[in-house]
Amino acid sequence: MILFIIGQSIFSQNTPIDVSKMTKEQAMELSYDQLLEMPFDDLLKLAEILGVSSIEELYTLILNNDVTAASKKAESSFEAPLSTSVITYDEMIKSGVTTFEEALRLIPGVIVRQKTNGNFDVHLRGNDGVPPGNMFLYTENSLSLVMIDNRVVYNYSNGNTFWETLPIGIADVDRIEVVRGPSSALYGPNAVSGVINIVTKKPDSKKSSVNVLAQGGIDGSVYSDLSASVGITDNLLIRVSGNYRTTKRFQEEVYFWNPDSIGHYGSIDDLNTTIVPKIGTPYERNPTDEKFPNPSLGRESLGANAWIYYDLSKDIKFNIGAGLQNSDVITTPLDNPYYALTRRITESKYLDFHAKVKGLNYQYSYTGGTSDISATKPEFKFDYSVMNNILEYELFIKKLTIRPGISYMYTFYSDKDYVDTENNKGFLNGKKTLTDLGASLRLDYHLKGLRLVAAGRLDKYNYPDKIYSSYQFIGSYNFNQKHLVRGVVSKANRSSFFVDVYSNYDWMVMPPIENILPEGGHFYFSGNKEMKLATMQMFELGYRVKPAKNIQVDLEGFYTKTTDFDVFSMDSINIRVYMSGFNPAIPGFTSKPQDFRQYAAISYKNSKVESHQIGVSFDIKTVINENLYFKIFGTFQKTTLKNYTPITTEQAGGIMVGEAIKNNRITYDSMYMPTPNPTDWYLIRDYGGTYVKDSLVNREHKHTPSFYGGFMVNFSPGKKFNINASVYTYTRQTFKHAFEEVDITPKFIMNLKISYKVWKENEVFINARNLLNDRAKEFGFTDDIGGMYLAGIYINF
Amino acid sequence: MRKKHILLIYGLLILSTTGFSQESKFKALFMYNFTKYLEWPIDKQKGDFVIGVYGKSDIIPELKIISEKKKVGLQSIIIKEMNSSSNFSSCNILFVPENQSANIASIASNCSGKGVVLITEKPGMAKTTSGINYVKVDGKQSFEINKSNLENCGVKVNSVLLSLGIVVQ
Repeated sequence: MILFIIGQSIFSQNTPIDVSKMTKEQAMELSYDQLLEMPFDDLLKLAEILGVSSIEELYTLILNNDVTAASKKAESSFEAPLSTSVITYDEMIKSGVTTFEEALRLIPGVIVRQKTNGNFDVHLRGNDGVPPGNMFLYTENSLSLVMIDNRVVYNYSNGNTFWETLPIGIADVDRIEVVRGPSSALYGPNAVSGVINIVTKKPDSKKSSVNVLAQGGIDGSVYSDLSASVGITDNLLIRVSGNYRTTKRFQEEVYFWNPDSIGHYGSIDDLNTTIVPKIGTPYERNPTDEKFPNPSLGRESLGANAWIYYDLSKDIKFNIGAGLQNSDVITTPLDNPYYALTRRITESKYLDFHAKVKGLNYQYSYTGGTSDISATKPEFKFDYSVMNNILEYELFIKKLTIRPGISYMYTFYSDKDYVDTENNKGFLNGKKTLTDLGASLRLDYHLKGLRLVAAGRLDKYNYPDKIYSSYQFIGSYNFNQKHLVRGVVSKANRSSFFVDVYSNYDWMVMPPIENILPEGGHFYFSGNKEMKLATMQMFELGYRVKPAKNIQVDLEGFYTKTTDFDVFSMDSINIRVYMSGFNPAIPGFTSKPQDFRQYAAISYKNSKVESHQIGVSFDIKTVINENLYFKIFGTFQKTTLKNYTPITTEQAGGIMVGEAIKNNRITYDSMYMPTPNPTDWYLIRDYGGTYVKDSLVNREHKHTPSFYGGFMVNFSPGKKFNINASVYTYTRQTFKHAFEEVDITPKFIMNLKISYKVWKENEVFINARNLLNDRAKEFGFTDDIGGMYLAGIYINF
Repeated sequence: MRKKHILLIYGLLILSTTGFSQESKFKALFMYNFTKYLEWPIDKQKGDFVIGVYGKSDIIPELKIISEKKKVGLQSIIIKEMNSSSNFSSCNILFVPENQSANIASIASNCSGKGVVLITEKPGMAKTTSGINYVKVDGKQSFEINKSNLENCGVKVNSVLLSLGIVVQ
């Protein structure tokens, strides 16, 4: 027996394991005892052979990646206390998305519709187009806080996001974090329906790296991004980037409104005196070269950025980023009475400074530039500037984290260099400012699996001159790292914006007509400094489970009530009405009854409508094996509008005329006999009055689809190929504009990217967006959205 | 395709997964090997060699297998599951899994200077807090090592270990 044992040990000593010659199958057969006897460097080599990390890496990347947005400090997304989703850089590259907006189609809870090629409408959960039947501006999303590295990037004219003005490209991104639901208590105003925070890459070592993503479409579209980083020392790192994209619209026609019935699509060259607008005078033809030099342009944008990172120590870190951008797009939102699209041109620059000194965090950001939000009209060009200072401190007392903070935002918008402000020819007519002083407090308590978060915020605006409060109360319980249940009660409000507060616009809709309208016909638009700010209250229950190591399931049920939406509505109207028989020798005058609107006063005010939304979102992610992962997600929702008046601004004008006649507020003499100095004006001023109350209804809101979601599958057959297929879909919607209404049909948008690694991590690829070329429109009165077929390269070293 | 077909395919795909992880096993093996190249203060070289794991982790059963087969010098290896109310200073090694990384600051402050080697598995942790941090480099399991963080807790490092890992400062 002893000889046998000695023999065995001699035998094993004489046949040492040569790890470098082992196959994966042989390595898997080694016992624990053999592994424990192995020298450490051999063990390291063995780990490489077995590829231990690839599937675990996938688990982390797909199922449990890091997120900071939900609690403003790094934690795994499993533990995040709010409804959060993360889109990683890796996912964006593999899926072939061409813009950030398109990337948002890879997660639940986001409604993304493409208006023209490269220009998207993005909403979190819904409340889009509330109240329906208003202008394009009100279909825009002014309820979500969109940021790059916690720097606000939506615009303050109306609170919507000009996505083409984001100066960074896909190659700049580490991840996009999305938090659904009111989060103003943590971030400040406008985190009403949620937060979208694009987090840029930080170089993590002195080693240089370069990423280039460049692709071109068969229609001539181009997308190109470059990022390069280098370390000067271990603590001083620099990254620079640039991006350029240009897309072509899928059609050149625009939709022309028709004053009497349904409009039609036609060439912009048809825009001449024969086109009768929805309201106002026939178009006076100006050379369109100045306005639409390139009617086939969807989007053209250029950006350049640089960042410096300096870590003085592990507790003291600084970084500063700066950049500029230039963009030109054809899209909605600003209305005109002739056709449904407009051209928007912006150039801007920014500076973003972050300092972390032990528990203290400070951010200063500046964004400024010039934006012409409707190049077809001279009145909407502005210089603007937004500055934000945020200071927060984090301290730990045993199991409690306390984070107080203060902030100050100052912004100005000015059209004084572009319009005749003395005669009110601009929209703002001067330089106007908005400020917001904020204070916040967050308490975060952990006790084993239980987590309680309470956060509150106060904001003091200059207009409205009020203090608004927001809050978030969250309770979550984590069972064994496999189950997490949470409940959230929160409230958040929108900021005030320049269009609502400061509008001061005189639009001459009819030129002067001698003896009838000596000063012409006018629409006066006025802002409201005491406007109440739209506010959402939410109750949400969430459940997250990992039934197996390779699967994560998220379910969230939510109920929201949103009030104090702003609308653009008729205050008063003065008209002169002429009956048949009267026939002055004036060009364009007919013998039919005509009304000549001397002026209509329209102001921004709070609507009585309340939006009640109830919904459920699900998100199931699975890592099948090292080569295959899959996710499926979606949201079912129903929105009911209460106290909604279905009367549009235009219809209100007509009702006012009818009321005036019914109440005998028109003098018939003046209708027959124009006088050199007309004095018989009939003032109708009662928009908030009886007929509005009588017209209030409750109805289902059909602008938001009852289901939207998608799936994605990623398959790597071998080390060099990668195939990624994704789908985004939504159900039928009704798009109701002030002028007309149209149905948006359900659409199933399928995308496919196939890439091949030619050398290390460098690839060539083909990329099809809307592979099946379903050309259905995704937004009212805009373009067909067809397929895009691209080929490109991705350099990564 | 009908809904039930989709569910069936999805179910089969889930069942086809291997469900078997090598990573935790190798992290446990690496951890055992670290002990060969680290020298703890004299008072920590007596009694049991305690490896604490904060919270739940797949590494625990792997460490228990090793603890039954091996010792550190003359010390028997004991594996303990820790939580926020535990006494970390009794540990020779404290492993903080990635899903507990949010608590690292308070954990580190509770075992500072007490001869406890903090091991983590989240990018960047060795630069700031831990002595050793598991990382993946070009897809293979490796580790970062911060000599000054280890020395600050009273533990000496053999240069061989520095050569096998990625030194960070």
